[in-house]
Amino acid sequence: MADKLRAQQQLEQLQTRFIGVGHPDTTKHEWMNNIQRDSLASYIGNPSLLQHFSVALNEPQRKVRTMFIDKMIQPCGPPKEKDSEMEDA
Amino acid sequence: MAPPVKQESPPASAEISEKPRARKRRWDVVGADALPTKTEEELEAKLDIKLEGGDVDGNGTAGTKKRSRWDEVEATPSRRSRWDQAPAVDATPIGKTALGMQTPMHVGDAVGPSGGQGFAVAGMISDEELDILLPSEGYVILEPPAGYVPIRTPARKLLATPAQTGSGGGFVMLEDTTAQSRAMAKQLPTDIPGVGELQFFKEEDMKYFGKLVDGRTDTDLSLEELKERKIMKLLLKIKNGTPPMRKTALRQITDNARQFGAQALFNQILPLLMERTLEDQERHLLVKVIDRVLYKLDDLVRPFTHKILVVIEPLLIDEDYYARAEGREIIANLAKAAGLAHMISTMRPDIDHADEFVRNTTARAFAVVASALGIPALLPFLKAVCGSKKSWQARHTGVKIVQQIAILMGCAVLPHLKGLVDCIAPCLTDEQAKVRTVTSLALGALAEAAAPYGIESFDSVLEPLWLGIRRHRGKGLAAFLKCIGYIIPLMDPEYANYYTKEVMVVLLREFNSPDEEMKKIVLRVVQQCAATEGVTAQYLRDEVLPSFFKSFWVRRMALDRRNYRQVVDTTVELAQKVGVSEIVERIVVVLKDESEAYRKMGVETIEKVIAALGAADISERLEERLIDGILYAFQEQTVEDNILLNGFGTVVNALGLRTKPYLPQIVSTILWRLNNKSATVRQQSADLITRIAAVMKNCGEDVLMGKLGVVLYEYLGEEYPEVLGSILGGLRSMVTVVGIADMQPPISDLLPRLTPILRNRHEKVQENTIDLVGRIADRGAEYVSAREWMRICFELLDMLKAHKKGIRRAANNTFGYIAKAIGPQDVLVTLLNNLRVQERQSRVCTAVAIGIVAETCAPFTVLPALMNEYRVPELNVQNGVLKSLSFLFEYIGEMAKDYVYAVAPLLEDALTDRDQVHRQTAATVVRHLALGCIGLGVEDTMVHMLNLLMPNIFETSPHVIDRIMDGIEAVRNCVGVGIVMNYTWAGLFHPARKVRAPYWRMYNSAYVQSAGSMVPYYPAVDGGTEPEYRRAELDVWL
Repeated sequence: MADKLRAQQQLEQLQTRFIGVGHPDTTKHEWMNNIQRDSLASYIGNPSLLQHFSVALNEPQRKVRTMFIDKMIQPCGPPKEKDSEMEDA
Repeated sequence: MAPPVKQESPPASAEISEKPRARKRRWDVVGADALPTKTEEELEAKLDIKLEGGDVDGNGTAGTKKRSRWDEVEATPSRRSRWDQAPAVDATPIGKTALGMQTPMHVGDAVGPSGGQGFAVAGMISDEELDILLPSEGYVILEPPAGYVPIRTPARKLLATPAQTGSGGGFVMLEDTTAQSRAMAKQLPTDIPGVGELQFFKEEDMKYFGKLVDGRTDTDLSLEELKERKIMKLLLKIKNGTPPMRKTALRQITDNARQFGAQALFNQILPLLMERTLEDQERHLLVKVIDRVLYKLDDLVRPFTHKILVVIEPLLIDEDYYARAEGREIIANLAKAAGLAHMISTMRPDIDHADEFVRNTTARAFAVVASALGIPALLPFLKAVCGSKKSWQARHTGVKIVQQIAILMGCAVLPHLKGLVDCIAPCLTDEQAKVRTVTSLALGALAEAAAPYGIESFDSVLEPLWLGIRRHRGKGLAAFLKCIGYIIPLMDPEYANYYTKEVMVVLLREFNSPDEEMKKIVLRVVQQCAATEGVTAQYLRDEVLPSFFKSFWVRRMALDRRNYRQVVDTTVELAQKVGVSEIVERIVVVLKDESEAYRKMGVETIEKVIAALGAADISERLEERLIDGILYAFQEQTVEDNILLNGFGTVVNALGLRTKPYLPQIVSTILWRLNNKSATVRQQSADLITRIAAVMKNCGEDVLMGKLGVVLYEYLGEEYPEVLGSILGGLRSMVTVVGIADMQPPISDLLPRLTPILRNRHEKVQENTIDLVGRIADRGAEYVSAREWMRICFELLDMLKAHKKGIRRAANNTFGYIAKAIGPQDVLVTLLNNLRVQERQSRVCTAVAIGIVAETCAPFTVLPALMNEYRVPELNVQNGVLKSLSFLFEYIGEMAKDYVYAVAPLLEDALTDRDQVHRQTAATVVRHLALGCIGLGVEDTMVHMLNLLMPNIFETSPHVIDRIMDGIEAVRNCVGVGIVMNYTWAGLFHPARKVRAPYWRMYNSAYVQSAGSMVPYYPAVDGGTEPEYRRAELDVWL
């Protein structure tokens, strides 16, 4: 019992520092959101990747960067209703 | 609820007092003549006299025997612990019975719920009981021998005097096995219906929780009563229950606080808190309840603010620190919940209360409110109170609040310093002496809290303060001086200089004050003034030092502990300014004084001064006198004290080379004292050798050192362990400074003498020997034969059981040195055999030692033997081997890459063992191995290990799962996050929660450590029905 409580507290503490960590009740939607955001952050954070996208899309790096940041707001569209999730079993 | 004790019935008492039978008189049965016969009236009269401060002996009957005031406790039952459940004074007649009756100790016919089978109340077995217990035949009751006098040890005395029935009359070891507690246990329930098994239930609890056992059912209770009982149950669970019980009850009472309402809650909590028999733990728990409840109730508590304060305020002046802290916490929360206006209006009437106690606690409570709600909020109110025309009590309390704020909040007063000072400044010239005194104390507290800033805020009070020290005398003056003492350090140098000169006149005059309190304050102020920058050495030398030494360096000052401290501190502070020689010159005569305490004071001061400032300043003549004096003081001490030892050591070390001429004399003193009959003297001399060894070496006294070494060596037969430890310490310091090669006696003689001493179980001896042996093993192993070293190895194994970590660590390191000196084979065999022992600690230490040996002698010398040992089909040995491997790989780090393939089969076996601990320890080995081999091309084996680790992630035991996860984490670092992630994806969304949980744990640890490198490995979720999950950017190609 105490262990569970501690694990819970540790997770909460972890979550405040790393927003992307998950738990057994994380839905697919939440997880995919995190994956998308992490990926976008990685594209922006690695200059060579950013350059790659900018050349391929024929847009200035600044614009690609802004585009990626904007995309982070709702990378997978609006949140889904609970009942449509298969993970809720 | 009374315990089963009733007034004695006539037959029982008559049996003893009137018809002294020839049966064995036991020491606890006090005859009639042993007790002063008193009636109840007499006692009460006596008590009245006592309470009015009259003389007890004025009473005719009581006057025969002088009693200390400790015997009076029967009138004032104090706090008692639940362990001494002696009958309560007020609840039972025994207290007065014991005084009034002739045979108080013998309560034969105790009738109570327990059935009156006659268990004696005082905890003794009565004669009746003995009759029941022992067969009537075959036993003879003996007469006490003539001239027998009962033993009067305190515990027994307690039983013989009337005071025993009161609580706290003395120390009683009360155990639950006494007949009394057995009788008691029967009638106090620990199982209350609807509550469950409690840890304990006190008779006082019956007063508050009695309703729970009256047997009424829920159906015939009104809603209000039900609520009351619910709260009662919860409180009882919290107060008396087991920790898990307490936890749930506390949560329930917190969650439902608003439904219960403030009235219902506090009507029960507050009387409980007022109970005088409440223990610290119970109080703490109730305070916790209030704390939580307050938070929930918020403004609903307002009607109860005053009631709560009345109960909590006394906690603020409790002698127990935690009680004070808890009191503060509650009042702070109360203030936050009820709001400032309400707090002020509630406490306002208490500010000029007639009782000083109430005013004092109110002031403290207000300070807490100020710290909770901010000083600015309270400042207008404070201003009004301090300016009150109506009563001086109000002004006094107002100033006191400011003082308490400063004490409570420390440097947090700085932003509001000006406001606070201005608020109380007018009170400095109040017509009431008490108000003036407290004002100067408050200003002092503010200055202390603000140091070293904020002098500008005190501008307005400087003038009245300085006028004050000229005008006032006695207590008022002391307070003013104290305040100035705190203000001067805040000033600029030139101001400080000026004001110091002003105040010094008064201080010098007060040097001669007979008042102890004044003396202390004067010393403190001198110390503070001397420490400020602006005061010059010249000034101190000319004006202060002569009269300072005249008034304070006198024998009398050494007798009182606090004075002693103050004088020493002040002298050291003065020395910082005027220099070493100035002070030492004056004190050196003290060292030859006839009073030992005074000599000690001198030595301590000199030690501190020289330790802080060095001895360069000391002239040749002074140096001579100093050494002479300190030798005298050292030799003349009757109680061996660290002060003298430290003093001697510090002086000798500070003088350094200059000690050379005196060394023969010092050494002969040491030698003489090493021969002393008293153990402490010998110990002290040996300790002194440790202190001065380095100096002797510097002075080139090699011959003397050799002599000392030989003498110490001869004293190794010492039987007192403390002394032996010091002697070994002395030898160790000699070996350190002289070096192994030049050591006298030679190492080859010394070490064999040490081997048996290693068997000594005393901690100090062990520590010093192992240190010495380790040093020799490290630097001069070649002086001793391999056989001797092996012998030492065996002794060292026992050291691994030592409680002290330092000893175990030293022993482990010594194994390493010895292995290096004589080769690892023999040492290793010894260690491997030791893996079979029972004690866990010893095995763990052996494992560490094997790791150390492997590190010092290269792993290939150890690993084969170790792995061979794993084939022994014995759990402890295999675990020990795995543990050693884990330490080994931890220590050798990158060297491990050559042995990965060699140990892989062993680990395979261990990771697939049935035993959990096997797998756990193997996971630790994998972890160290993997971390040591990052980037060294052994990824194939690591993936193999990962395959073996993965099935273990469903372990539930916390230790096992933690180690397994650590292992996986380490492998991840070695082989890269991508491969491990391939294992992880499978379980993240498994239908079973039990499966998902560990997989998410794995995912999270990977995410925390290497989120960046995980991005390329994220799974590509294909569009299909959920196109938005697709990472479209990945389709971009160049």
